[in-house]
Amino acid sequence: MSSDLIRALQGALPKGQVLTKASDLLCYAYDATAGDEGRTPDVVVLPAATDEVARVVRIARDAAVPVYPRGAGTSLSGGAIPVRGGIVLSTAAMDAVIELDVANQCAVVQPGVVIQRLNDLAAEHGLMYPPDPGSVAVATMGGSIAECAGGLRGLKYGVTKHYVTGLEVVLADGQVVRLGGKSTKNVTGYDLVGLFVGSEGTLGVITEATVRLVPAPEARATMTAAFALSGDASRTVAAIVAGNVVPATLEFIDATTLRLVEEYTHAGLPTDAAALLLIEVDGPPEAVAREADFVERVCREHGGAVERAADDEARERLWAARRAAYPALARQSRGTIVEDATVPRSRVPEMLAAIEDIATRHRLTIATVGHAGDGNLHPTVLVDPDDADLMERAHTAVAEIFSAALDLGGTLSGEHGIGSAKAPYLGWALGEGGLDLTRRIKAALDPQDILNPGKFTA
Amino acid sequence: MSTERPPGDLSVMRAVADAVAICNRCGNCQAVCPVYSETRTEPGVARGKVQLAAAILSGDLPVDRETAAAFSTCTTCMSCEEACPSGVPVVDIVNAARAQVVETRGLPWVKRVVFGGVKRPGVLRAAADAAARLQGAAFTRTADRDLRRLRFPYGLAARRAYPPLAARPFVHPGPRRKAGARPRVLLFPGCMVTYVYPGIGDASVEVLERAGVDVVTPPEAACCGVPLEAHGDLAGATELARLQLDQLEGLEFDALVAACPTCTSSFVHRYPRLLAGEPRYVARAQRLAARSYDVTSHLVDELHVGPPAGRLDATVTYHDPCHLARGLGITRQPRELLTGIPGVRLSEMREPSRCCGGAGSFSLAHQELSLAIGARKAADIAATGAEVVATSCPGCRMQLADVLAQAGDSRPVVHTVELLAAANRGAAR
Repeated sequence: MSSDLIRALQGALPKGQVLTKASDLLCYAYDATAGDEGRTPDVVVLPAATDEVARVVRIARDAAVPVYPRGAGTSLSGGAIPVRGGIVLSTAAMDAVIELDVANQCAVVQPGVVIQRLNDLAAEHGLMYPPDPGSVAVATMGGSIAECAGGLRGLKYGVTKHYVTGLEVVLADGQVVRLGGKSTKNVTGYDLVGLFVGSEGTLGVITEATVRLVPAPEARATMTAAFALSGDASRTVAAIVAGNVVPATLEFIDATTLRLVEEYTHAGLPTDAAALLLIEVDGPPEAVAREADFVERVCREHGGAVERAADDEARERLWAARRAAYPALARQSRGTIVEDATVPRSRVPEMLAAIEDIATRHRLTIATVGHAGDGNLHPTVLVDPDDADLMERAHTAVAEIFSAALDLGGTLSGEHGIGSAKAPYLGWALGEGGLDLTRRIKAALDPQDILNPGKFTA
Repeated sequence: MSTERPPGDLSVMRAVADAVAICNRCGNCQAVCPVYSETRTEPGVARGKVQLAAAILSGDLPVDRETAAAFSTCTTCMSCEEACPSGVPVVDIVNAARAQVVETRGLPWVKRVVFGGVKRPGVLRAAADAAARLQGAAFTRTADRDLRRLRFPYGLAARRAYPPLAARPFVHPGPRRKAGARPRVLLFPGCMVTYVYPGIGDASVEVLERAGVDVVTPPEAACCGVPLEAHGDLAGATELARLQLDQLEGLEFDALVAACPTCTSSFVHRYPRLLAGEPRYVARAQRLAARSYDVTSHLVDELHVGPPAGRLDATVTYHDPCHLARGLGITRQPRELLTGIPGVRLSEMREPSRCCGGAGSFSLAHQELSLAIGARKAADIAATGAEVVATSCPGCRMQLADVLAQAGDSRPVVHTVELLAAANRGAAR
């Protein structure tokens, strides 16, 4: 990168918002994706306002230099890695909650606002912003909208795209467009807001978002059910859904995860169980009581050993196993590859069997937790980035997991995005027609390929 | 980043290579890091620093002044360690990187001179004594009678307000011999209590004696060595560790107690680690670690102290020092002492164990950052409506007094034992 370009950026932004020291640049070479080598950017910019973002993008456009938008850098698919160098544009400093509109149950936020912070503010008015990825305490609104993050409440509440009604976006030519607004109904022209949600920073830089809030549930009931046979857990999930009960949380934890969590926490988990379900129903107290009784009965009918929380303290205990899953895996290996292949709910048992078979054939430990209700599984491969042979087997296994999910009518990614990590497999899911359409949209909006280049649109 | 062998001698860093490797870059540390919440930049947070450590090990980052600066923006508050799913010992890594810079580049001359003095108790005492006598010429009084500003503000320290150095350093020789069955406590005062807050030392003696023990202080008020380690002077810190063990050798005491959690954690955690490779010292360090205590936990858990004689009608809020709450796991005991004082009501602040931003010389080297972190604490304190702020660390006390003064808040800040002593004296606030 030329020093002219750095000077231009320094001229366009206030002092201190352009980072060029080697020690600063190295800190923007990566995100949360495992085993990725990363690539050090040439410069990092920290714009504080939309017009500053626009100025940066115009400078990049004129010099045909890549721009990599970045929120909190918690992507699990390489979404924030500057694979071709150039400019990393961090929106972390744009962190104002512009408006919390209680009358219209929505919020207008800058991209650097941390999801949890919006939820804390919404809670003061009895409202909530339902998307809750595992990184909710650190991930930003901008990043989670660009990646269309999901989370544990997806079955009942949907994912990020169901909540974004308005966006302000800086396009690849530096133009600022405002799309949608506070209206929950809006069919004025193309669904342009929808185009940018989940676009992974390849079409524009999100500089403001309007999102829907919903009333927080008045009550909830939580229980776990341990099953001796994994198939019984799957049949339980099917029976709950067939009863027209939609739990807010319906998590599946497999035997490998249970064993690793117990080794880490010594919490007395049922390590002899083949699967554990963590189920939470929420809503008005009467409905919660009725639904919880139904769920408990269904679990028992299918051979589940049920433990139901009597109070908040007991609820925390039941949640502990799920919450400890990631730390337990992280502490018992030098690295983890967390995948999110997703299948239709009814095919979950077949998918679980396929994952087990893949793990055995490639001599790998794959621990699976998942959002069983929406078919979104997280097979997590325990790896060591320094063990080349292990890494190669892991990557082969991941490819086979994708293939199995597609064979079952599923998809590559439920909520982590494609980024660079899954880009080689995109054609498997989209086909030639879908790939071609993707590239035409990219070419129309970013003809120079400067926005997050080298990812799934490459 | 490449995995080829690094150039040059990186022996200090290699000791933490495995610790660096277990970070899987999830970024959860961003939720709790006090520095990151101000800078919102990746080099500010643990994940960034751990990746920089990896870059030093891989040879991608030279060991130079710029690297030293990158590792200086950390208060070592340990909140990232508490939040880390992988259990990365971040403070060890940060300290190793700082030590590697000193190992490779040497200490800057100013630090060489200062630390040279700190390592020699006589010189430290003489310097503090001279400074105490001369400070009238160097400082002006602020609106708050307890704090002063530099009369000739120079550079970084211009905005800060400090308590004056003590006119007489704290020392308490105590009875020369063990008297009967009465337990004997060696009160380790540390630099802050000796030279800045002798009142914390006096109060510690009072409450300990009332709890039925004899109290003595060490022959020389030498530094525990943490400030040296924080600046990467591992050799100097190790030298001080040996000096402390040597001067305590042969002294008669049942427990070592300190009112500064950073000093306490030196005896409990740091010395056994620093001296692990030295057969002459390691066993002694471990034995001493087993009988070293923070003053609040010793009063509650070992001496089972009863409520004070008098009462104190006040609403108190309590700030948890990082090195006490996360370093030593002590949060319950100081609260038990406070709520045990008749008339005291405890009004908890939001995030009581969030770092106050003091962190020793961090408050000078990164003045703006330190004040910004402290301003959040000042706001959290103000929101409690408490009349008095208690904490259990002289360093936190100094920072809290400063940031409250900066916010125009005249609430007094005291050490937990000072409130106990005040209640014993029946002094009403």
